[in-house]
Amino acid sequence: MSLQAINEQLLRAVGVGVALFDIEARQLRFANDVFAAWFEEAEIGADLATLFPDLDTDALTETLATGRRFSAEVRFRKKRRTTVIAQVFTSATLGDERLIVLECQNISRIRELEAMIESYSTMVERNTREIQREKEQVEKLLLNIMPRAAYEEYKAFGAVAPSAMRA
Amino acid sequence: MPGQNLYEKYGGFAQINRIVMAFYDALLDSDEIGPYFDDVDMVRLIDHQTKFVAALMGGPAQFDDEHLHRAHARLAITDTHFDEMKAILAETLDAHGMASEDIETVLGAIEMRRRVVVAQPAMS
Repeated sequence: MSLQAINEQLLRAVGVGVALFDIEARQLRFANDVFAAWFEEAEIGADLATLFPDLDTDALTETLATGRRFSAEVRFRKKRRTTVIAQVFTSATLGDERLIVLECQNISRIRELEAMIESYSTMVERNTREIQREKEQVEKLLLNIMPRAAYEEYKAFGAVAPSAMRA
Repeated sequence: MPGQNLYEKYGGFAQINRIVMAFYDALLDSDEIGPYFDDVDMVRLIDHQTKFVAALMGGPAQFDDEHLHRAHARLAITDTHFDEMKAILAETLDAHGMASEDIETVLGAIEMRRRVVVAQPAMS
C-alpha cells in the first residue's frame, strides 16, 4: 500500500470531518465520510465558496497567505436540530500541489450547553436582584421600629441584648 | 433533608442540566411533538426548557400562567400532545434516577397547567 493510500485511509478513519481543496481553484479534491455526512452537497469538484456561502473568502486567503490557520463556524438545521460545525482551514503542500485542509468538528452540544448556562445565569441574576431588593426593604422596615444600634447588633449576632432606652 | 425542594434534592443545576439536555433531545426526536419545534431557534428552545424544568422542580425560575399561555397560544396544542410531553418528561426523570413519588409531584404540577397550555375549543 502506498503512503498516499495510507494517508487517505487515515483521513477517512478520523472522527472529525476532513476535506481538501485545491488552493488556487478552490475546488473540493477529497472529503472523508464524516464531512460528506454533514455536507451532503459536497461532491468532488464542488466550489468552496458555493459550499459555504457565508465564508469570508478574502479573509481566508489573507490568513492562509501568512501561514496561519483560519477559523470559522457554520450552522445548519437537519430534522429540527441545529448543528454547529467549527471549521479550521490550514494550507498544506502535497508533493508539488498546494492544498487547503479543512478540519470540521461538531460543537453543537457545546453551543447548547452554553445557551443553557446563559439561561440559568439570567435566572439566578434576576433572583439575586430580587433578594437584594427585599433585603433593603426589610432593613428599612427594621430601622423604622428599632434604633440603628440595636439593628446593627441584631444583624451581627442575630439577637439583641435587652437594655433600657430613653424615649 | 426536610424543607428541601426537588431542585435541591436532586443536586441543583449541576445535576438538573443533564435532565434539561435529555428532555430537549427527547422532545426533538419525538415524531408526535417534535414538529412543533421545526422552526424554533435552538437558543430560545433551550432557554425555555431550562426555565421550565427548573420551575417545575422548585428551582430559580418562575413561570406564571399568563407567560405559559402566551408561549403556547398560537401552537394549537392538543391534549394528546400534552400527554405525550408528560410521558417524555416522566421517562426522562425516571432515567435520571428520580423517585417515582417525586415524578408524580412534577407531573401533578404540569397537570395543573393543562388548561393554560392546551388550546381551548372556540365557543360557538
